[in-house]
Amino acid sequence: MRGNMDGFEFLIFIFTTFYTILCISSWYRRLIDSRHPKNTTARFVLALLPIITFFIVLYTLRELASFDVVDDSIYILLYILIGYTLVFFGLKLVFCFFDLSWIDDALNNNNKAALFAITGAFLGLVVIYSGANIGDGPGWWCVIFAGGLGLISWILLGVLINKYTQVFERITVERDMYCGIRFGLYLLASGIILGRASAGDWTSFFMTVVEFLVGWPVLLLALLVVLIERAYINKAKMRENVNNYLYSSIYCGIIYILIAIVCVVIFPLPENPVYGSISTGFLGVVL
Amino acid sequence: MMNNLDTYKIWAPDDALWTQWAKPVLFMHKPIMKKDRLPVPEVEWIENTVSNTMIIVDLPGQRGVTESLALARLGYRPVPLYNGVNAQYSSMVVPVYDIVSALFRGANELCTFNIRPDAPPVFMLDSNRMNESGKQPGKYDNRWCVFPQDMPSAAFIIKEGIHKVIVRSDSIRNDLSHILHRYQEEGIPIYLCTGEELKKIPVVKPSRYKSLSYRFLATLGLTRNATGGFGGMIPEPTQSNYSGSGYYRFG
Repeated sequence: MRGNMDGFEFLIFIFTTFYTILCISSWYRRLIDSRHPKNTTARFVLALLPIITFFIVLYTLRELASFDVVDDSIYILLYILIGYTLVFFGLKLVFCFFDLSWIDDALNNNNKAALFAITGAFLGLVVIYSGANIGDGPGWWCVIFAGGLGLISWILLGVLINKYTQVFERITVERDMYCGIRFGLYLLASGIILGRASAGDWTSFFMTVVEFLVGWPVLLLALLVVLIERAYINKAKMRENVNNYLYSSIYCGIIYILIAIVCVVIFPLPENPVYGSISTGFLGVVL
Repeated sequence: MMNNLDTYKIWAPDDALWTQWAKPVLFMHKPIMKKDRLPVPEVEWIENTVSNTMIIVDLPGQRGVTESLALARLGYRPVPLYNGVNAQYSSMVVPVYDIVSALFRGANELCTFNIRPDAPPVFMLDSNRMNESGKQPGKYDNRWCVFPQDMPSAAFIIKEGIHKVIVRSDSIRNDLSHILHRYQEEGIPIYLCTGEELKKIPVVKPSRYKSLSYRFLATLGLTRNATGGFGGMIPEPTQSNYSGSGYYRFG
């Protein structure tokens, strides 16, 4: 079972197996046991998320991960388990720092706005972790470090956006579904950009931080979100017809995703041999 | 003979505006029904339905249900927000059996009242919800809090023509003040009714007001139930192999 794992990796394997089983069993048991008579959609969507996670992470590990992982089923399993652990831990951070709770808001309160936001947050976390798995590296800690940079940036930006737009209050208390759609898609889009920033071959901690700066367009995206949300707040104050917000919110969300895709396309991963000099690393960032 | 869902639908009918905030937690287990009718008192502090007034009944136990029914008789729409599970243990921290019994017995009364779908709401809370502090081993911890997410926002109630909020209670509890202060900030006056007369009160800004971690930290001190709401057995230190039903830490 241990394959080529060293002792510490085996401990990580045991811990992540235990935590993943605990989290996934709690997740599905809660969805099954929930007694709210109207939350069928929420339960269906939430039930799909861990399955989608499995396929996204599996694809990344089989096609884009380190050369010594792509063909090693034990390591693929280890990284899937680490992925689930980080995503479920990330959801706790989402509750703590974003005040978005999949249990209270999406499931028990049947808040559709929160369901959109939590779905975006879940997928955003998955994409950041998947990005961190892209490229060669000497061990699991490279993935944790690179993914951790992405996760911290993602949370800080969410808190910063909230400071100027009160987006979490509007989603959880006002149950503004359109705000939930827009912000959910932002969380996914920023996850894509930060996932790209977390990707790449490992050389050192310092170079990982330097290469992470390639995700700078996420700042522009966050600024765009602040401007758009402020515009919606002003519209709401003027009591304009809220029925028009569905399509515009979807368009905004699609724009966020397109921006993220463009960022991934225009900043392709540099090849391993050029990693030797810091200046080239900086060049990659500037590009 | 009504089942649990039928009873819940009477308290939270699909066509009522405020149903989206109703909690089904206390409707999960049908109690052993008493045969006698639930006595519904007369309310003396309000005479009839005022369409621009929302009421929050925050009274202990069964009194909250009976007084809400009295207001329903005037035309208000009662909305149960009880969120502590009735596990039928004698060691429950918050006794809720009489509330459950009153909800099921009161459903028969409620059916007979003519309440408009857009009638102003009466949100029902149990003032004993945070009866004791801390998790106590060997007890069924069904303490709960009401959060701003559990009630309509200030913008929503203003949009629905509500311009006044009356709290029927002996005092304003800390968790409720997080909601009332939001209303007050939007210019909605808050009145406290202790039973006889209405008194306009200023709601003091509570600590951790609008803090993103307020709900996270508050729920850490409570015990979630798998089926929704709050409630779970706190194991004794000696019960090393305890596996309480429906008690999850993950959240």
